[in-house]
Amino acid sequence: MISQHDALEIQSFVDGELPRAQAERVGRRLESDPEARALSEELRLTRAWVRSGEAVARLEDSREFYWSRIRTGIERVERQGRPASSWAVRAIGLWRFAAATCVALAAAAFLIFPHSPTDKSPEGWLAVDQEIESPLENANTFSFRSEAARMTVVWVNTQVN
Amino acid sequence: MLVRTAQRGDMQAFEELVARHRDKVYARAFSILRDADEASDVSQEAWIKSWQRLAQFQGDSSFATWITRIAINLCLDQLRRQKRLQASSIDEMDESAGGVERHLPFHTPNLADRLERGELRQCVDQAMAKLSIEHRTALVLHEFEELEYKEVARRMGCSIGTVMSRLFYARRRLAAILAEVKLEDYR
Repeated sequence: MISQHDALEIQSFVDGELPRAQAERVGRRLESDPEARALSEELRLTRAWVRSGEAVARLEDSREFYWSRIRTGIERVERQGRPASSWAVRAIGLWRFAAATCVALAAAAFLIFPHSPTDKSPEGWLAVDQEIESPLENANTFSFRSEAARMTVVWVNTQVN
Repeated sequence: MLVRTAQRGDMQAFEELVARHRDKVYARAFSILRDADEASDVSQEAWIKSWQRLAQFQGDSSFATWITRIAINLCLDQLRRQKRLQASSIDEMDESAGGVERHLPFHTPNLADRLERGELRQCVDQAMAKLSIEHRTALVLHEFEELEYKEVARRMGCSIGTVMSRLFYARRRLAAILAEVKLEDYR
């Protein structure tokens, strides 16, 4: 019984894929081993039949029709690769400039304006992560604003002192 | 000469190249895909790509070889996209278990003595159609494209050992199928 390794080695020998020394060794085996020789012969015949010629599968499309589809495809890819018109290029450039400017301004605003709690923070500027209670003139209500939670709570006291 | 003219942008020369080689390109795609519509689409795409890459053709191989290689790569890309180029679980079990096919009896039918060349081609082609796409692709690349094991492995995205196993299985299956051929089926 031929092992899987030996069977593949015999195939490699038939295909001319073995180094010279290995090919000589396999060749000697084929002379003395009838089973190996039978496998080699089968592989050789099958290889020859397959290589005897690919079955010719012909296109049924006429020359003109087939070419028209290829030409349409070529024109399509060439249109896709063509550079845009000058006004389109300018419009795209303007859009990119505007987008970049907005991003830069937003980043600058973030860096310039204080966003950490300080005693000197001007009235009206809120700490990002600070909750504030502000008693309003109407003693019956309190407002509570949290920038961290992004919410404002108004407590209404129905009990009048 | 025709190729050089086409490389200078002559669309008529390129059309002539298409007319001369279209059947071969289509046949190679059909050998792998075994579907007329798919093979036609892939062959057209191959021609479009070859027009885009025509400047890269240096004449190291024949133009026919060059364009069929483009078609084959497109076939393989398509099979990978469709996830058809992967071993089935049964094939994997067979190949990892040492290959059931090596235990099959040997066949050496003398087909060449019994059939005309055209009949032999048809016979072999019908037998190849019965193989799985992985086994058939390995055969097409090795036998028709005459690629070495390592190049077949590179194209198919698998190991050399897998290529060898697939070729072995495909050949043994073909031999068994061809041994059953009845002469009257081809006359």
